[in-house]
Amino acid sequence: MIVSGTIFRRLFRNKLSLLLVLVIPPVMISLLLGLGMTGSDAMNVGLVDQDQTPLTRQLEEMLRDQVLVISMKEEAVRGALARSQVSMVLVVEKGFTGDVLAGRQPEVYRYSIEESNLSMPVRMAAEGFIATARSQGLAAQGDENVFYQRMDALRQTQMQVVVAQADGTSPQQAWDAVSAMGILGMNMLFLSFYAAMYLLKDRENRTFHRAMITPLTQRSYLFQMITCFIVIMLIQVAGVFVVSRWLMEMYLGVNMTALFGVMMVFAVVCISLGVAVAANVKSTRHAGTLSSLLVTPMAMLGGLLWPREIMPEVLQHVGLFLPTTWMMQAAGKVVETGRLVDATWELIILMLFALVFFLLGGWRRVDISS
Amino acid sequence: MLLELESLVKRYQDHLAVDHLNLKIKEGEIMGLLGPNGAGKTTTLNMITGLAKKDAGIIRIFGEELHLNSREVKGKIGVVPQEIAVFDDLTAEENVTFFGKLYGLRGSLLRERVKEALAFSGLTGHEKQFPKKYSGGMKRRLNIACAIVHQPRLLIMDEPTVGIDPQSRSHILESVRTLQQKGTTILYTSHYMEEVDDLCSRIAIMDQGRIIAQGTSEELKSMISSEERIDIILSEINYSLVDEMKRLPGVLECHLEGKKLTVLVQKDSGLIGKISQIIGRFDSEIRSLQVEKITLENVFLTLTGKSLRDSGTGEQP
Repeated sequence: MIVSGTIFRRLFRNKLSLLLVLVIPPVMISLLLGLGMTGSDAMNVGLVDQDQTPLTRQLEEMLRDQVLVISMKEEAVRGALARSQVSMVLVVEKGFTGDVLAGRQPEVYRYSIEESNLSMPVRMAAEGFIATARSQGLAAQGDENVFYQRMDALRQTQMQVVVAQADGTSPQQAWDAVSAMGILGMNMLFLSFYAAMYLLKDRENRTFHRAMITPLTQRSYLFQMITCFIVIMLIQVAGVFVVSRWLMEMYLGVNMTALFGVMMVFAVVCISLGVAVAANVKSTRHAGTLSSLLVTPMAMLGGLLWPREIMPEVLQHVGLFLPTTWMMQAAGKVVETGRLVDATWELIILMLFALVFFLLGGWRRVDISS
Repeated sequence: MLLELESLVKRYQDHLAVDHLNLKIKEGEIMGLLGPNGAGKTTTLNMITGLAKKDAGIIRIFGEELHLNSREVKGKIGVVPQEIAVFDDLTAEENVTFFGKLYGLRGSLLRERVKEALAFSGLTGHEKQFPKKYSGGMKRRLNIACAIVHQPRLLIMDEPTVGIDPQSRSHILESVRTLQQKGTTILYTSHYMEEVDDLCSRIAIMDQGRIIAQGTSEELKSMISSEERIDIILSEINYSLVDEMKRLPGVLECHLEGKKLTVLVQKDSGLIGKISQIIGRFDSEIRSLQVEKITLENVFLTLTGKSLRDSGTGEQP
């Protein structure tokens, strides 16, 4: 690991690198989350209340505390979703209150273009409310008066905001955790271009060619470079986790290790992107220009800076072709459930992105001297 | 033979960069490789060092075919590239240590060799400095230190003295001689003819991808030269001596221009004594006499039809 060791030495000797790796990500997270710029309250939720009872009105009030709720009829659901007027629609079926009173799981349909990290806290809040109401229904043994008395009591003690998280955190906290991963993800993208520029710089000053004249193979050189930058990215992720969790006292999901796992996979994607860029651009200047052209759109379209739902539908579809979208989806799921297995599909897609980028980085079989 | 190239071929699409090139270098010699831009020198060096793949032919180094045992062979080769290929963000010592490690040196041996290489290159006392603080000559010497840290058997030097001060140049040339005395075989390319003439035991001239001539400096000069020119400045002008000169056997041409007498004679004819006797007989004296020597530059020009420094377009990578 001679090459890796040397890169570490060179990188951490450079103040700009230290800033980029260790200082900027947590500072950005604290600034953006502190200023409330992640846009979690920009979500519109449609509600089709076919039961029209005091309980369903309580559900609506609870949701209004967190998001903008638009009451609508069932036939308007498709159009509202298609026009992106709402990100999600909850349909409360006739008989909802009866089911809750009986302690049964009521029918609540949820419609959205796709599951998103923004709709997650709303879904969690609704599910929490229903679970609480069901338990009160069971306790009231079907007596409607007792049930509403118990629900009123709960409302007065602010218990209506019930979250499914075992550790008692709010949907906003969960959303903040996902937003923090978005900001971190953007920094990781910048770092991937920085890695590409390192590779290109070594080609420009011919030290790469010089290393290739020694017994070191090109494969070994690249492997060491890649390993080194993945480790540097993991140091960045770990730094952000430590600062966020223990200095800023942020909530980072049910299972922080699983979230770290998602970011590890994204680190591999970022490095593979760096390798692809380094192999296909001619100079560090080109790589710098490309980073300005690619990182910000990737961050915006992938929902790293704000919820994807606030963007026009066509842009949301474009976002599906970017790894950033899938990283945010995976992070959202893992923050919610704490299980990596729940984000299997997203992680597979991320791995496929990494594979494609690595192939793009190594498809050309040319002489080193070229 | 330490290095043998047999029918080496390299193409870049339609361009034949190296055309069935044959070259042999004996252990312990300094072989100079000359050629105009685009002659195929760098491509040849790239194939020897494994940076470019050959299309055909054989590269045998230390008796082994390069592609069959490239790791071991590369471990015994040192290369001083034309560009200064060092890391600006590592100190001189760290640079040499890095390349030493790539060649498999470790521990106290590595430290010892790094120290030796820096001392050999005249960089002792500057080892903790970053190359960006170095002068052009010091950077060139660091470039060499990185190439010799592992004490290679074959050292390839691609224009190691380009753009440096005379002091550093002299240091580098002296270093090359010292390395040869220590037993290192050197393949040396340069645009400076006098350097190659002075330094190299044998010289190969390349053009259009082929070796068009090779041998010692004297052998190459004798290839193109069968005559010598003697320029004499006389004290008195006397046109009669010109006819007398022309009658001398071995004199091919003679003419007087003012006080300058030019005599073209057959090479090694030994006529200077007779020429001075004739001048004396015509009551004139020799103020100065110069026998024009055939230089490597003349040889190069004659063989390639191009000047070494200003020729052609850039070579294929």
